[in-house]
Amino acid sequence: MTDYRPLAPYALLTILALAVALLGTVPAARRSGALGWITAIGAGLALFISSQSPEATPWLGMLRLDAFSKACNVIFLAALAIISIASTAEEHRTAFAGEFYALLTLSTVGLMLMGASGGLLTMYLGLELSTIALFALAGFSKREKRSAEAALKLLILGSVASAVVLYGASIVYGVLGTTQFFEMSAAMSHPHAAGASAALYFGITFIVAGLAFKVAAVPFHLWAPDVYEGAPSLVTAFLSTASKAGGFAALLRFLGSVQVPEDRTISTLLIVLSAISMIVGNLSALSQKNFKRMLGYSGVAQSGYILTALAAGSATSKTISSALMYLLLYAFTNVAAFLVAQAIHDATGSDQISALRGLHRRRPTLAFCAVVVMFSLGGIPPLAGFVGKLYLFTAAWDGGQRCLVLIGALTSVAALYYYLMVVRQIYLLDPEDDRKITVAPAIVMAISLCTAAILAIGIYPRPFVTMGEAAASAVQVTSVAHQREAAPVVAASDVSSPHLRP
Amino acid sequence: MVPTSYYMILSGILFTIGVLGVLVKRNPIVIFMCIELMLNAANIAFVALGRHFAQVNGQMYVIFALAVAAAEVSVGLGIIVSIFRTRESINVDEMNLMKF
Repeated sequence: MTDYRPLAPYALLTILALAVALLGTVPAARRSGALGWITAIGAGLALFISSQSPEATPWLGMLRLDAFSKACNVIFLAALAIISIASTAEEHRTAFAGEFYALLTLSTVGLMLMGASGGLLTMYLGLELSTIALFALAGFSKREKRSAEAALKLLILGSVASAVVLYGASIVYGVLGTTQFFEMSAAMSHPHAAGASAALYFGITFIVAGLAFKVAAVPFHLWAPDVYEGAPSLVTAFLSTASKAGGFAALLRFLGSVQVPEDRTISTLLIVLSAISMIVGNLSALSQKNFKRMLGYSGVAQSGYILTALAAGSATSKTISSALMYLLLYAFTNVAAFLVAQAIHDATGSDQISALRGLHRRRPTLAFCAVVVMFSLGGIPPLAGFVGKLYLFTAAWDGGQRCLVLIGALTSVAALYYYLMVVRQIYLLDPEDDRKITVAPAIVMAISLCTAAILAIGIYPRPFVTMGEAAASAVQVTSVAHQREAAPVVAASDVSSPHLRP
Repeated sequence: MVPTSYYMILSGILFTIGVLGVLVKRNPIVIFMCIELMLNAANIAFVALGRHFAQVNGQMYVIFALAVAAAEVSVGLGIIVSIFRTRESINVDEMNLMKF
């Protein structure tokens, strides 16, 4: 008898999405931001249930609800809750507020499924659920040409990426005869798979490439700056944090629990992705004038930093814990950054970096939060960004990727330039007009929450590291334990069905 | 019985045609048809491999992939219609408001 209790957070969020879509039919004047609060409370409740629920592997191991999926849920649900709170400021202006929250919640369910996937099928379905909801969200400001253009770009490239993942999955299935992660590890050590290793690497490369699109790693990053710039800031905040974390969760789950015997090919792929992401992302960000676009390129570079740890060996506990920890702090940091962009856009109508000029006189608290966010992104010591980067680079260094760490350190210095240029606009230059700007209280509250989280993680990272280590051991334990169980099954099926040798 | 490798070659050819179409075509609806071709290439491979291994897993994949593709197209066509409303054209070459 399967225990379905651990599925409660997923069910809760799905029902929440439908309920919010229904409640959206109440006239905007009568609900006054209630939908956002309902979504935020629902996300908080799901987070609580998820942290309390027992571990399980329902449906023949299609889902793996363990410490890793719980750690991922923290990232996704925190992002969902904060963005929902911030969106309450917009709610009376948006025509389809109910649909907005419903799509956001459904996308989160998809991401949670990616984090909890026990096989390629669940991973693909989670990827599609989250991506399709994001297509609609990116084009949510229907009247704006930029938003529609962003939606089309995300739509075409996102669909291609998921088709590539599916095709990769079909090749991997052809070589191994299974798509469950724990059976794949066992099947890989089988001589049949060794005979078709070229096809196997081909398939795995396709899957990694599709997921690299999701995390916006170079050369699959071309959509990111455009979509980040064109989509509404609140959607971009979700797209650049939770959606990216979902891609990394799937990558960690896939590469962490499927131990490829001869790891050289895949790690070379990750090394290349990581190095060019850091270099291209940071160098392209240097010359940007648009704040959101700059954050888009900086996000590409941040993906590169996380990939350094993955390149050092995906199955090590340090890799998984440092990547999860970085994704969590990055979620708070980047959500806050895009909320600052939203606040500035509301006040001045501009997304340019120059619109931040003299913010310390026009709105001191917002200026302080913005500076904390920029310092954290740049990795200045007392803040979360520094601690996270330190863990990532330590994991990469211990895994033998010293060259990548060197590139990371050098490009981080270049990155400091453009983050500090924003700080210069905010604090060192005087504003053109001295009037105070008004920022919606909901956005101020969301930004303050993020800033508090950045400071907290930076000063006391221990609980988050512990959470990441528990998650890492969950991924490894399942892969090792099932390797023993699954081995005889695969061997038996081989007698009747000779494997394909392309 | 047709060997499984023939199906795999067919699916490889279809996938390649799909990728080339996405790169070459300028009309998003045609691009979408090419993406469908890529998905169906994977579906053919799954069905053939499911028969090869005498498992139902392959067919199961296809059912899911078909449902997902339908959802993707419905959202996609909605976006294309909304683009046509804002600018009276859906040529992807004209989608250049945002660039370097």
